[in-house]
Formats: sequence, structure tokens, C-alpha cells
Amino acid sequence: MEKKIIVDKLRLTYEGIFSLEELYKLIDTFLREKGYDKRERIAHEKIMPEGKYVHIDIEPWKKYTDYVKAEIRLKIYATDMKDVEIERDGVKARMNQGKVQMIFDGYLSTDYENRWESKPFFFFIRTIFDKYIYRIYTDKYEGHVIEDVNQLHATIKSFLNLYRFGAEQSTAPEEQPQA
Amino acid sequence: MPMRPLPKELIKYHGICDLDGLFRMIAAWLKDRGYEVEEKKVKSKVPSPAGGEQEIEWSAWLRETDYLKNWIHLHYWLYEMKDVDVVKDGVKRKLTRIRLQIEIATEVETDWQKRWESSTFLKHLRDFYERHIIRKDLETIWEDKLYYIVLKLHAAIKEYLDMENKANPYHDVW
Repeated sequence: MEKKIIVDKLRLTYEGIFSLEELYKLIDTFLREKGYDKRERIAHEKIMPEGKYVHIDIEPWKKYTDYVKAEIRLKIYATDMKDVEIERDGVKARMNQGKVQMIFDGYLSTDYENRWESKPFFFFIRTIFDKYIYRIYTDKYEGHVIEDVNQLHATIKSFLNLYRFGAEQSTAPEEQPQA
Repeated sequence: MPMRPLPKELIKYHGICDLDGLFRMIAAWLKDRGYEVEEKKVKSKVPSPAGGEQEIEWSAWLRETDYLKNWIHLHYWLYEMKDVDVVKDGVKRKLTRIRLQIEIATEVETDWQKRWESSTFLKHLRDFYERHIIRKDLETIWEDKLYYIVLKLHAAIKEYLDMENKANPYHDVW
């Protein structure tokens, strides 16, 4: 199997009020809609005096063909997380306050079933095939991986910003008195 | 009987939980889905000042078809176990402060009745059958099904421990 790094350690950091449960649901739903299969390598939670520590390692994958597979690796670290209760539109909601750091990686794997690795000659043929013949398709799939990772990154960013710019605050320009 | 392993999942938790309740919940969850549960290993260490330590291994299996058998292996590591009394809603309960690690490993066993094991020719025929005739069914139906069932168990454990990432939007898959 040949694994190529397409997106290397794209980061997103946030500190403030958010809901980790909702964020996790959002990520899962996004990946499901995009046709990824779920894989959660690590789900780690630790209750500490300064707040909860949560580490989630998600590795969804999507098979494009029998030969090419996309993989995203998303590491979520939430630290100093405390439960807070806020009121939004008159309804009380349980949220979290703390720091979140996310690291996104995107990979493209070719020959993921290791069919071309049984003999050195096959391995050589695969390298030639990957480099000169299948290149146009690989470039196209690489574009899909970049797009998916960037879209996920943007979705999470806008989700977190929703809380930063709550309903109480408005960014609309003030109306100017007419002359 | 070749084994086809699926990706492993790991849950780590450090906090207070009802340990007996967790074990009961997992066993009931598996039994409700028709699995037979075997406790393969229980290893206890003499408690240190940090608390007790245990290692437990469970294997659960289900005969999916005449040819396929599903295996779910649960490996628990329990560290720094200490009993604590917690009062919740006016009721005093005995819970455990613990550092817990659960690894869920899943496998699909083919030819579990060993019908194709009697000769080398039959073994080769079985390899051919699995590689070329039922390969797609194995990957897209049986392995996929087991994998998503295990994800549900994974979500149920996280929900029991009241972890932050307990949601499972794939709950309707299989």
C-alpha cells in the first residue's frame, strides 16, 4: 500500500463556550453525508481538577475504487473543560467551556489491498503505473480529499463561530440617519 | 478457519463509574443480539496504595451463517480502582474511581465448521471462493454489518460512562 499525505496537520484552535457533544455529532454527520465509513481509534476522557480532558482520534475512510482509498485523520484535544449552563432564547442549555485543538490530516492510499506487493516485479510495475498512467486519476482523487478536509474544517469553524457571535450580539452596520 | 480482523477501537476513561453496572450492560447488550459471551481471562493484582488492578478478557461470538461466525473480543484494563461512596439524588451508591481502558477487537471467522480443512485442495478452493466469489459480500455485507454493530456497542459504552462523544449518527446503519 502506498500512502500519500495530501493535507498535513491543518490546525484549528478554539477557546470559549461550545458543546463538545454537538461538535462530535456535527463531525460524524458531515462524514456520513460525504460517504465516509467511521473509525474511532481512541476515545479518551479524564476527569481532572482543572476540568475534563478529552482526546478523540477519528480515522474515517472512503473507498473511491478497488485501488484508491481516502483517509482523514482527525485528532481532537479538549482541555480544561467545565460544564456551564447558558440561556439561549429563554431555554437553558448545558454547554462546555474550555480549549479545543483539532489537527486534520488527509491521506490518499493506493493499492490498499496490497495486491501488487507480493513480488518485487509487481511492486515495480505498480510504481510505474502510479507515476505515469494512473496519475491523472490520482490527482483528481487528491483534489477530493483536499476538498473534503477543507470543507470539514470550514464547517467546524463556522459551528464554533456560531457560539462566538451569539444572538445577543449583532454585526450588522448601524443605520445612518438620512440627510 | 481463517480470521478476517476489522479495525480495533479503544476507549479510555478516568473518573468515577459503576463498574459492575458497566459489565452487566455490556454482557446484556451482547446477549440481546444473540451473542454467547465467554470470560477468557481475569487477572488481579494485589492492590497497591494507588488502588486495585485487573485485566479481563471477554470473547463473544455469534454464528452469522453456516459459513461465517462473528467474534467480538473485549479486553479491559482496570487501574487505580478504589471504591467511593457517592450520594446522587439523595441515594447513597457505591461506585468506583477508576482508570479504565477497553479495547474492542472484531473478527469474522470463515469456515468455522472446518468443512474445507480436510485437504490441501479444499483449502485452496476455499481461498479461491473467498478471494473471488464471495469477496464483495464478505466486505460489503458481513464485515460492514459487524463493524457497524460494534460501533453501536462502542457508543453504548460511551453513553454508559457519560462521555462527551457518546453520539452515534450511524445508529440506523444495520
